[in-house]
Amino acid sequence: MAEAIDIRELNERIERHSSFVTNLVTGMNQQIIGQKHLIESLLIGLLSDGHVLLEGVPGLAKTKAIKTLASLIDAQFSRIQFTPDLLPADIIGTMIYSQQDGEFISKKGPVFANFVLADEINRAPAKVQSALLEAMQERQVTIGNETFPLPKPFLVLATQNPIEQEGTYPLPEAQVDRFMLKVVIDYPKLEEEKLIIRQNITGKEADVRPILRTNDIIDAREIVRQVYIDEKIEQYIADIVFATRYPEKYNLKELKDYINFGGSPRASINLALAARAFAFIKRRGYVIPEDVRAVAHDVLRHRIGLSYEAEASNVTSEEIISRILNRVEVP
Amino acid sequence: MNRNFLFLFIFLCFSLYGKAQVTVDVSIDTLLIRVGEQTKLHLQVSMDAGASCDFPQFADTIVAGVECLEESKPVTTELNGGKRLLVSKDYTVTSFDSGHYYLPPLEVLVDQKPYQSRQSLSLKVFSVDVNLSKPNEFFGPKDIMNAPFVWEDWALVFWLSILLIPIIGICLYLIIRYRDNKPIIRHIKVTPKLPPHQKAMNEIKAIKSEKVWTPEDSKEYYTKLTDTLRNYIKERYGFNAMEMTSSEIIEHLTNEPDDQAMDELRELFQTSDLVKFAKYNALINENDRNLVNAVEFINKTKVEVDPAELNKKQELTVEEKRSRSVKLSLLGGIVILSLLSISILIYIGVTLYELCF
Repeated sequence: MAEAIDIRELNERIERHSSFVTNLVTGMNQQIIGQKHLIESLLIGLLSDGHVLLEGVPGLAKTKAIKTLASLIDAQFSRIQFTPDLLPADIIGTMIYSQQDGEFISKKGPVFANFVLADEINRAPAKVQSALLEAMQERQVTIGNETFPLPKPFLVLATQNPIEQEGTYPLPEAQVDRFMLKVVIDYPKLEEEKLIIRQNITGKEADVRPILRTNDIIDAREIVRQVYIDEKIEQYIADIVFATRYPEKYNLKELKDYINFGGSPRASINLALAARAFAFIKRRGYVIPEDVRAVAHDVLRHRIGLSYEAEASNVTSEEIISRILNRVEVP
Repeated sequence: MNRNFLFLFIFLCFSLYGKAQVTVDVSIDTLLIRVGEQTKLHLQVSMDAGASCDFPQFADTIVAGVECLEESKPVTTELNGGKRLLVSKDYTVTSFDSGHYYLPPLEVLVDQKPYQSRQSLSLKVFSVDVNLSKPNEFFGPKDIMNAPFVWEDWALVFWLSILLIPIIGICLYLIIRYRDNKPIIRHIKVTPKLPPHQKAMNEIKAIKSEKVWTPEDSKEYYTKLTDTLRNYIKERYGFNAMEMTSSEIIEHLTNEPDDQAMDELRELFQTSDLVKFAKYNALINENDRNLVNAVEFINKTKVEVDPAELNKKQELTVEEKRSRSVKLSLLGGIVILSLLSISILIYIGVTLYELCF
């Protein structure tokens, strides 16, 4: 092969710096049986600085996966259990009067951590969910008149139950768009289920120790940012997102009535970022169409607004994305 | 002196008389008419301007035996530079009894003062002599005569009838096309269908001969080469290779028995991915090797086509899917032509009825 210095050098750097990926995956596999896609998605969020929303019925190890990931990294971790009576101040903090100093001081909430697990986020009303907005987007929190930056890295990993379940509030569109990925978790396979039983009835918990520091994550993110995206891949990403907005231009006229609104420019950005992180996980210094396709469902599924016609016809965003991916020409 | 006063008196009297002079004249077109024949009485009044005139009005008869059929409106003419007026009125008269009638002077009211015409008239009415001894000489009324043939009367009907024939023909044609769900004009394109491998080989030849490929052109070179291969795979194996990634295509071809061909294809796709997405500049000999790999893959996987089948030209009709708008325009054409035909038919029918009956 001829020389392509930058990519080759980048590949070597990725090879050197991505060894922690294997360790993280191994560490998580000790706790979580199966759910390879879930683990990969969490890593993508971690490496591309994007928040992750996990959706699945109770008992699929959503919370456990996040807790395990947080435990494998030497970082501050906090868990917020969202309930219907939760208040915004319970998340971001509040001003309290200090008798000792004779003045109001800021009491920081649990959001001030590297990893925030927003457990069952859709159990709280919209105003509480929105309290996370500023934190997720601006990476800062305002309490009273004071604005506090959040620690780096800062990652919100939220779980939610399917909205059909009782006692849940659908996330506002503005907030759901701020999650880079929405990962839908399915039941484990039969063999995996047997392993889960075996692992859990022994009563022994595998010891989870931190194997990574926050600085390693920040360094890895720096390398991920250098992963090369060719113009052809950018075009491919733009085509996919445009197809969600104007399906008729991509010979997908039948989808037009099913889509109320397509992916925003944030969808394109996140698709590119997630594809980069995926390429990094695969130890590659450049993005190929496979990377885009691998993350497309997780990036787009919560960004496509379905119409009443789609709901009446039982057409899901998953089907729409699949049809788009099968129609848009790969470079 | 007395003589002068007498002249003055006479002058004044004549002046007053002249100022108030009204003359009424009556005349008749003919004094001799047959029974039932009509003639006109002309009554003229000459009077000063500004005076009002009332003509006599006859309810039925002027005198016994002479009937007034119609009265014209009075016609006024100015005389002497507008100082005098001449008002005239006509009366149409007739009589149904033979005889000699005396028409007395007619009386006109001018400024409510009666004036009689200066003339009285007579009217002689006579009957037609009939020789009762020769009844053969009696003739009944003549038959209705047929109007002569005038081409101008028939020309429009004739030309509209001629026009109607193609209109009805087109309308029927459109109805049949609409019923059969076919376009107005059928496009037929006759193209020889090349087998996928031959098509791919032609494209590869074209890539090869297009220009001298340098390492800087690698991206374009591999894009063309892989597009050709993906198109070949799409047509040869029948799956949408153009919308698949390299690994997905390889995965779909796992059943292909020739391992070497698959290895070569895999290598080609890997190189092309590196070139297209990782700024990799392939060497010229690498390009050549991959081109040979592509040709070999095609040769190893091609399906031979019967030469006779190849020579047979296949008729390809352009997809005749009817768009909604075309169908609507077809329907609109049928409606318009039908209405036009009906209108022309009605016009022809009415005109023929008028001409014939």
